[in-house]
Amino acid sequence: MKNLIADGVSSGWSYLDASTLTADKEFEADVVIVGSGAGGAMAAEQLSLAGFKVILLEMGALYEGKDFKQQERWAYPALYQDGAGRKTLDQSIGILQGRTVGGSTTVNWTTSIRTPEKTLDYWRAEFGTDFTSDNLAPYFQQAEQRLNIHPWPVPPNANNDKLRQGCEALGWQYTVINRNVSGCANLGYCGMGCPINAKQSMLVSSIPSAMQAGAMLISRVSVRELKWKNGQVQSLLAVPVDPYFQPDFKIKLSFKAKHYIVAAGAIGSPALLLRSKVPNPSNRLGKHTYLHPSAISGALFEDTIAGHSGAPQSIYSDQFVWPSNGQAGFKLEVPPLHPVLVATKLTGVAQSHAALMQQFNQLQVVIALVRDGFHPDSQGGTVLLSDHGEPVVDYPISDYLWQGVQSAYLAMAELQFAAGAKSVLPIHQDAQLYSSWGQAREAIKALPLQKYRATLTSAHVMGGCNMSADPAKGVVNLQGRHHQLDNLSVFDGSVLPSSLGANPQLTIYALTLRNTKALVKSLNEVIKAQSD
Amino acid sequence: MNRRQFIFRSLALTLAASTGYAVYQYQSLQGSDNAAVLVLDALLPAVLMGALPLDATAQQLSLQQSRDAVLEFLAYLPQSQQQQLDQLFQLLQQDLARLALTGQWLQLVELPLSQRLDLLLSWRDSYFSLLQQAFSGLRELIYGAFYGQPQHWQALGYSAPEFNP
Repeated sequence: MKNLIADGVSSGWSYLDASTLTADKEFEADVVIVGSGAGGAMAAEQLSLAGFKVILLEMGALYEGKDFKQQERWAYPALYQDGAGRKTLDQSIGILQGRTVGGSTTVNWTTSIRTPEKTLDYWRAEFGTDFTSDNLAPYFQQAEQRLNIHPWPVPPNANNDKLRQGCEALGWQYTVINRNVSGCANLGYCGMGCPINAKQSMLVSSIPSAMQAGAMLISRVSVRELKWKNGQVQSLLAVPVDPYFQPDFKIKLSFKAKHYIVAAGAIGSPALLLRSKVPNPSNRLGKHTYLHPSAISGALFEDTIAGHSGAPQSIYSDQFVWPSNGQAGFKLEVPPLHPVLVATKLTGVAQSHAALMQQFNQLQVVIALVRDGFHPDSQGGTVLLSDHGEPVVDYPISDYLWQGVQSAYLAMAELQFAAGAKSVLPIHQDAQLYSSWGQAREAIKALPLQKYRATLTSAHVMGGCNMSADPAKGVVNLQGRHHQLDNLSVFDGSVLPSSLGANPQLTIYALTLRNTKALVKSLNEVIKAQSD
Repeated sequence: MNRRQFIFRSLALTLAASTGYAVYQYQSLQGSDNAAVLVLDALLPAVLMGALPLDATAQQLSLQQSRDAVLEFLAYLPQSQQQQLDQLFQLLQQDLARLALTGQWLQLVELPLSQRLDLLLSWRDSYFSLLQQAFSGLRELIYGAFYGQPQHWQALGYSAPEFNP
């Protein structure tokens, strides 16, 4: 197995670990990109191939292929925001988000889904977008080809198969998941970085390709501020991070470019723009942050599930994503089941927790990703800055969303019993192991719908710099260009004006390909005009 | 975080007032001035009941390694969250010390595990949002630290593969 970037660097690719710098430094490029995830890296590749000199900045460290250790105690602090312990302001929702070269694509579970039709309809109606499944299709296809996205041909692992069986038994819709893998050995460790370069994350695709075409990668750098004047970004200020990824203000880096792309994720991007006090006439910057808040349901089976082994996600059900009664819909999926992830989420303490952990390999888990946004009572959260200038997401959970959570507990329990579960445990402080669907149904209806009682998590952060045709309703335009600052674009999940009702990576790839194409054209026109 | 600081202060005052003891009196009973270490050492054996190795030496080692893993992990949290946790550990340390004082136990280490567990569960069921957060946060930190260590996987029937040894 090769470490593609390390090998490339030894043959001359341009790479810098900012934490090794001992003096201030200035950089110049055509385009500087903040963030190396689905948006930033995809844009870096296209711009580099189009002949622009690109610098790609990443707050996380460079780990790839052989570096990845299949242990959560290594992977979470090394590869995730806040050691995978990121939380909303009131600590009621846990957030899994990558912070490493390749961003969340390095640690995601490979699920690749085109933007749902109904989501595109909603954006057209509310935000004046002109996207349709048809006119986005070329970009979806381009991303799918680039990252070898295809239906997973291998039988699902038992954890996913129970989701399939439950749907079959109840006549519910389900789909075999498309995954961005090539030569996948069905190991189950996608969330800790693919050890065999099979996952077609940005780390093994667009980043090496961009570097081969001349892009410079700088890791362990935290971008603090965009300096702007007269509607133009003038420069970008950054500092290295320490071994714990805390910004280290002793050394200052500055970057000058013709164009700046912010792609630091839906928490990092709004935070950078807020720190930079960019014009914000719509008052939507850092607002309308969506999380797909996810409820969890555990089940014990007689047979072995061993949900740590095999592709983590290979089946989903959209049975409840778009309910006709206008209630909050939810998508059903399963998570990979590794010891820390399971132990930290399972309810109970002391003996009751230990007893559940002893049935680790009989445990099956379903998650319900609530489709937030799309409704007046679901307008998302807000990115705020701490006294230290670091982002926190304040995400109030409305009654409307709680209704979705309750419906989700019911659906998950019904499904798990239909798939043959011995007992079902909604992950809620007041829930117990229920031994029949009837018992579970009555108990779930009585569960208090309150934060801290229900364990909620998120693996998808969206919004905060939403796109809109009308500058009064968004931060960026439909090409991802900032409405007020001419040479600034935002290319990541923060441009999404609602949640998706689907896992976001493929939407971000496609929109970034579309918007980078427009940007290349526009930059070339500027250059041509200057040379004429 | 001004609102939170305010809540913290009022909560600390409420607790001190309700016990009739001044806060400084408890602290003199503590062997260490590191609140995080004291709170973790008091809670780990209770939270991990049923999961710890039975052998006394192995159990001590396991507790110590889990505590150290928690402390090591805290450094990866953002500064503002670390500061909040510091405050929380101070508060919880007082809560634990108060419990030790109201019984016949002079030292925290003598407080029965069942009482420590009851205290933890009282935080879970408290009306104070900060204590509810303390319950879920500490629980997550402790279980994350404990089950992150390969020596604790035997009971799970799990072993992590090494694809690139």
